[in-house]
Amino acid sequence: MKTKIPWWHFPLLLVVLGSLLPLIWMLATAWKTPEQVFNASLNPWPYPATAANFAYVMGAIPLGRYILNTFIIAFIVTAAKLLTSILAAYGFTQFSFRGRETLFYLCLLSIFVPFTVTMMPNYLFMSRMGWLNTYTGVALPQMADALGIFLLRQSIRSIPPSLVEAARLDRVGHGRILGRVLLPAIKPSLIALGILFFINTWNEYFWPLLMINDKSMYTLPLALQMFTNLEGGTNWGAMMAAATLASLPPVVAYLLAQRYVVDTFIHSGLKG
Amino acid sequence: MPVIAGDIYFDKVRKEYGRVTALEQLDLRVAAGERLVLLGPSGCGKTTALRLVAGLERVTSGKLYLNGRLANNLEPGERDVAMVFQNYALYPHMTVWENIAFGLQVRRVAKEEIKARIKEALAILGLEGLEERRPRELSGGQRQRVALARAIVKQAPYFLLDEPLSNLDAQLRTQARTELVRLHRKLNSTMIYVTHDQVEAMTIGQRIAILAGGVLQQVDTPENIYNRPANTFVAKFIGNPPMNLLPGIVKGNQLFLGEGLKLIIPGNWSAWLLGKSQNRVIMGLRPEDVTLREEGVAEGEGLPVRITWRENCGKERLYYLAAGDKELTASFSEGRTEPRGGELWLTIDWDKVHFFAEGDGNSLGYPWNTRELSLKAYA
Repeated sequence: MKTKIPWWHFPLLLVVLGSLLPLIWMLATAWKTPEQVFNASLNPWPYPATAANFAYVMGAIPLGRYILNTFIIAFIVTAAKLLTSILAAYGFTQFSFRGRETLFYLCLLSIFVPFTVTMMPNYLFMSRMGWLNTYTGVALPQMADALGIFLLRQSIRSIPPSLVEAARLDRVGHGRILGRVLLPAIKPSLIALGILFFINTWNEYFWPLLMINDKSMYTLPLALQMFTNLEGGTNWGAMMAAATLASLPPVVAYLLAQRYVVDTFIHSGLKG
Repeated sequence: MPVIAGDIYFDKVRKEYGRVTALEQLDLRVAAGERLVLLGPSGCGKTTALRLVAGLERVTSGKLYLNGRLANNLEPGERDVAMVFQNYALYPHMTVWENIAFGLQVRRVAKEEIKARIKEALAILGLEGLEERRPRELSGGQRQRVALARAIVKQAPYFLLDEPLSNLDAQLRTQARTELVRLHRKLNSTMIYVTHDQVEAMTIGQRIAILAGGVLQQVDTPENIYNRPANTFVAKFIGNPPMNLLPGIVKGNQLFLGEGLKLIIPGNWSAWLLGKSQNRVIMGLRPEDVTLREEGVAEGEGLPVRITWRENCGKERLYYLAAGDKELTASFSEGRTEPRGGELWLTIDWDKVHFFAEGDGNSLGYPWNTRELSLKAYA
């Protein structure tokens, strides 16, 4: 049986290839020798492939340490953002109090405040608290996110209110309503949001750059920049190897969770 | 698993949502162990009344008593009510067993006790073998029964149902009606059942409370609701096809319904209507209470009508009639000879006529003792 592919898939395919090209280039260059890199042909295929670049990177900088730093910060920030978003979204949906909507929209407004506005006050605050060069300093200003509150509020509002009402009639307290009724029902959103937070924090460059000058506290984006500078901008194979290693953890996290997200999407809901 | 039922008393209860009044001063007493149906069209306030009992909404003014105790400010969890929601509100990620057990676990009922109650409920509702299924793996009827099981294991004195059958197909619904009444007889709790379906109301309710626009129209037995509607709203709302309502003017013993439409009122009715000193009236005639004749009748004995449309519904036939500028329906059970077309005469059984006041639409009562009927209905 022949499947007919609509013609407009071809331009889409080109766009996909275009956006994949830098990634392919990164992966390929990481396995090339310097001669292959500077070969005039645009052949992306590293043949014969070499792992020397990876060995070199591992020897040149304490990559493990940077991965650990980045992971700790990304983990703390993701966990904290999810927690604050969940609690705020619960409050904005389950309690009715005067000024609730106003408060929510004020909260949303913070999305539109550019980073450059809060950057200096946050820096000064962290510096006065003596939190420069600490995980706390990097993580603390990122621990709440209006986008998370907004998205989770939407998810909770999409759950039939009768689920919560049935629980209230059974004398179920807020903790258990949240933990046993609402969170399982919005699990797909939580996971998706968690991945988003994790990858964003993982890739964050500017704020860690302000907060950290102690090399042992560097996160991966800072380390990459440092490594590029050290290599004088010519050792492309090694730089691409470092970039490949740096991008692995979020890709793995995404792949693991993606399967799970799809799974929970399929099995959620009560459609008859 | 019979429980000790409590009574429910709405004392001038009013509920507003912002500027919208959902319930205007509801006065209603539901006896302990009674099966009361709240019936009315969408937006009439019936679900609001139910949610007030559950504590999911707060009373705006007036007092709500549960078993003699003022309940206005009680939290839903403190009211000891079991409720079945229209969409069943089963927790999608829990199994049938977990769904039913959840509320009991929260209230720290002993494990053995939980097990025993769930087993009994599953047996009563024929759900054995489905314990490990999740709601999405159940049919609509099974979900509805799981929701019922979750409610009955609470063994609460109040059992509230919000249109629990509206998501089932017609056949299941008929079966579920009977099951519900049987279940209530076993439980013996005070049951309030909300529906917009008059058949459900007539078959399930020991009494029916009809609401319209947030105002209680009538509370009575199904028999009295049908035979003695308190006003034109109830008269039209109950019965299918609805009651014919014909505005007219009473002059002495004559009723003028329009051009060439005159009826002689029998003595008991004309004396009764005279006593009401109301000459602008609305006459109510149920479609099944009229007769169509092919031979002419004496002047004032019947109304000349034409058939404009016929419907064969199997067990009955419906005739849409035109009498002058008035439209009526008549229904006859199968087996009677089909009237031919052309000019026919519609005659009335005066023992089955209703009169309402024009204006407020309230019933003008009946010239015979209606109490007899009420007593018979309760027996």
